[in-house]
Amino acid sequence: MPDFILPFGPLHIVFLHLPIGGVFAIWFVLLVLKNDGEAHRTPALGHLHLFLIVSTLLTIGLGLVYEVQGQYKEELELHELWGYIFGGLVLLNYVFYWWHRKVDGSLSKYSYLLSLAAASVAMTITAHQGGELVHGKGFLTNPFQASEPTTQTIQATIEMPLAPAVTERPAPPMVESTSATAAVSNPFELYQAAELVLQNHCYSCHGATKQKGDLRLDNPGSAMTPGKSGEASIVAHDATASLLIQRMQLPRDHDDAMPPSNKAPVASENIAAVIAWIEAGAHWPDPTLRSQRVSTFVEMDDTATQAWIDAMNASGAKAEYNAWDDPRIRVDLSFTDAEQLENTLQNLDTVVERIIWLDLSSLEIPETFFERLPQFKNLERLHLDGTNISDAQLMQLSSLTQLNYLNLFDTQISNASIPTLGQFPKLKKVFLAQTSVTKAGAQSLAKMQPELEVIHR
Amino acid sequence: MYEDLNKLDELSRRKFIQYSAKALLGVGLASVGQTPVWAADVARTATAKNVIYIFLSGGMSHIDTFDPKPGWKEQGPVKTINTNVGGIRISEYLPSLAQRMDKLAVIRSMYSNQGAHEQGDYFMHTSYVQRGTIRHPGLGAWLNSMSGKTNSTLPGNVRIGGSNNAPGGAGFLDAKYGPLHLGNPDDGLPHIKLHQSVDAAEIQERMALAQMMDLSFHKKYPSKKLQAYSDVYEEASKLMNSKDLEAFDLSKESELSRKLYGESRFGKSCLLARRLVEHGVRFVELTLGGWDTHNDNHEQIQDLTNPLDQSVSALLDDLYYRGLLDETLVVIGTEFGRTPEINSNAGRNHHPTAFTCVLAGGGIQGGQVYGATDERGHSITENGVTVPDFNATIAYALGLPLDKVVYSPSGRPFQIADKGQPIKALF
Repeated sequence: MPDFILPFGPLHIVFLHLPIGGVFAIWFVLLVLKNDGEAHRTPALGHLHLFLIVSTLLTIGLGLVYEVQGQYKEELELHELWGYIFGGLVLLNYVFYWWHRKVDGSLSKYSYLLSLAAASVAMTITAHQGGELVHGKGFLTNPFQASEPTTQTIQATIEMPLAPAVTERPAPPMVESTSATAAVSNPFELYQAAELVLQNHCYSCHGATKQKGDLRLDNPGSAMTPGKSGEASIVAHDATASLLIQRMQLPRDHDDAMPPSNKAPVASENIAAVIAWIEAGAHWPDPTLRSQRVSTFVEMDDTATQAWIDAMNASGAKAEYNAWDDPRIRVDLSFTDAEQLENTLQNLDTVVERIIWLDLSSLEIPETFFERLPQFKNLERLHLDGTNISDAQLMQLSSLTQLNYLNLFDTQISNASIPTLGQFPKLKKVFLAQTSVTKAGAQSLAKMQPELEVIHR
Repeated sequence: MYEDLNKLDELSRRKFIQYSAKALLGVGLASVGQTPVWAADVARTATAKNVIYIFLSGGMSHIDTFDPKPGWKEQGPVKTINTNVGGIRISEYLPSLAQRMDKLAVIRSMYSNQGAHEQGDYFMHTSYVQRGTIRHPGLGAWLNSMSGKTNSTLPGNVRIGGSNNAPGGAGFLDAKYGPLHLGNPDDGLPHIKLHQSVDAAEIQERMALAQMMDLSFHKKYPSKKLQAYSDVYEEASKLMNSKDLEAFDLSKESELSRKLYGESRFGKSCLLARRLVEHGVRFVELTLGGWDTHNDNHEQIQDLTNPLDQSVSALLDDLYYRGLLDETLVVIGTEFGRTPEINSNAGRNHHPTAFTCVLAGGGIQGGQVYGATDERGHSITENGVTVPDFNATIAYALGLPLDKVVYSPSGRPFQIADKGQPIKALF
């Protein structure tokens, strides 16, 4: 189905009234405007029949669109089936109409009237099922059974687990919720767990697309506002008073049970998760606040480091954590502007112990920084390619014992550095192409450190 | 605490990873109904920072290049030679690459379900089958949108050669992640010089005027898309004054390296790709076309492999000596292979059932062959690799979150490499 027609789906709700009006109009012409038994010859009736067919087909078509757009599932099947039956009867009725109009006779007349009656019945059934989809099951009959207040039944059932006689599906006692939720302590995790349950079980009917019973649960504002029932779905700190929980804990065959009997039930540990969240105060981060504060994100356990990384990235360098669950840091300075370089290098001191990768490619590194470089004790990878490093400065770096990668491509390093390079205990790769190191120099280094890969040409 | 909760939206990739890690280690959301999005082996340390993707458009004959079948009667005149890795033999058309086999990982068990060029090309670039209703993003766009570009003023995604609207662009992601297209590597970046009648002061005046005219409109309609327009202007003018522009200038290269890469257009593209990666462009795609050898297969393959062999070898060497090969993943991809049988025009036809792709650098263990085909190169006998698997492997090397579901503007869920699983044996 092409995307552009999807928004027209809800028009189904509007257009469905046209065939209903059409059927009534036809009956009106036939029964009220008695035209000496010649009613069927009025041209108006033919027009009405055409109108009925067109509006029925339009309604069915829009209904199919709405099914996709509103993400209805199996609950729609019966309504859809009766809709097709009604559509078929309307077409059949039209055929009989012409038969009756061309050929006089009781057979044609009764065929016509009978098919019209059948279409009317099918329409009533379809319409009622559609109505229940929109207004909830039993929306016509329930008000007549209001002799006992609904709240009482709910109260009665929620006490069920306490009464030993009632054994069917006891609700989980709130004090000892499942171990998973017991471990959860912080409000955000509680919220996240509960929201997931709501998302999986509630939003399809009480969300952005549909708000059955005037209840919408997918945002904090409307979730805390009572729906048609007048009772608050979520009462912070009090799960028993929350209608949401009451309804979820009703026996599956109860009329008011949520989710309704034709939907997947909520597992008891998931109900417990929602209860735990409500008991803890039902904290729900405000979505508008959330979008406003994107730029001021702070890492939850290590604010300082995250702030440092953000500042670094804003200044034109690139800094990031080594990997998830690994708080060590990689820093790439190779594209820093010359005038900012001094400042940026100064900033590295804050996290000096945590930096494991440092990329200084093609930079004109100030003399003072070479003196501080030996403090980066945990460096594993160092890019100095294209920089102004000299043999004397390289010698100062011998305290970087964790180094396993050293890139000296295109520098003035010469054979004088070979002994220094031979002393890095963990060095696995050294790049010496386009330096003053000679072939013999590279070979002697390779001999000194058989584990070391010397890249030279 | 409650304050912090509100700050957890639109997480950047790194932040998302850290946050998820905590959620998983601390609580185990799994207990509340859904399997966790993050398995431990999905997010990982990136072994590659950049990608140079060489796309051989038309469908490279695997039998005449990386997967020769000396015992097969329709192998044709091509011979098989030893490489510098014992036990691996490839076609004589690739003598220089044979000497660099220790850097290559050859995947001989690629297969696709798309046997036509356009569809195969699309599948290879996006991991999704082509559909009328959506354009899927390519790996370059995924990389730049998730991991961010470097702070270089150059664009993060460049495509050299091929067509401007080829698949694998920005897709449904923001247009800024799409590739900048360069037709000819010699021309450099077009339209970056001011017109002779406009000087620096004049252009500033003009930009200021444009901004002034936009101001009230932007105030009235503060939308993201509008902001993107002004960002483009800003980035373009930054680029015009950037010192990084010299990355596009091949004349800055020494005579020797120009000679090593070769004078062919493809050779120059490879050289330009290296310069771009060196200057912080994260994803460069090169296209070498003409592999649709329905006629005179062997003659054509010989002509095509000459520049391929020379320039890719030069590229690998150059990256290696500069220390860039450790962080740059070189990919040789194609949309499908070619039939083991030679047709009446001495050519080979399309063969998506089995073909070969090659990876090098970026954390990939060189000197290995993954998967195998039968004695005539017709079907796969072990370790079949789908196209999404192949793309997942590239994304895995880049440390991208393969399991992250990203929604298109129409609300449909997509993943970087669809359901592809990375081949971890290659690392």
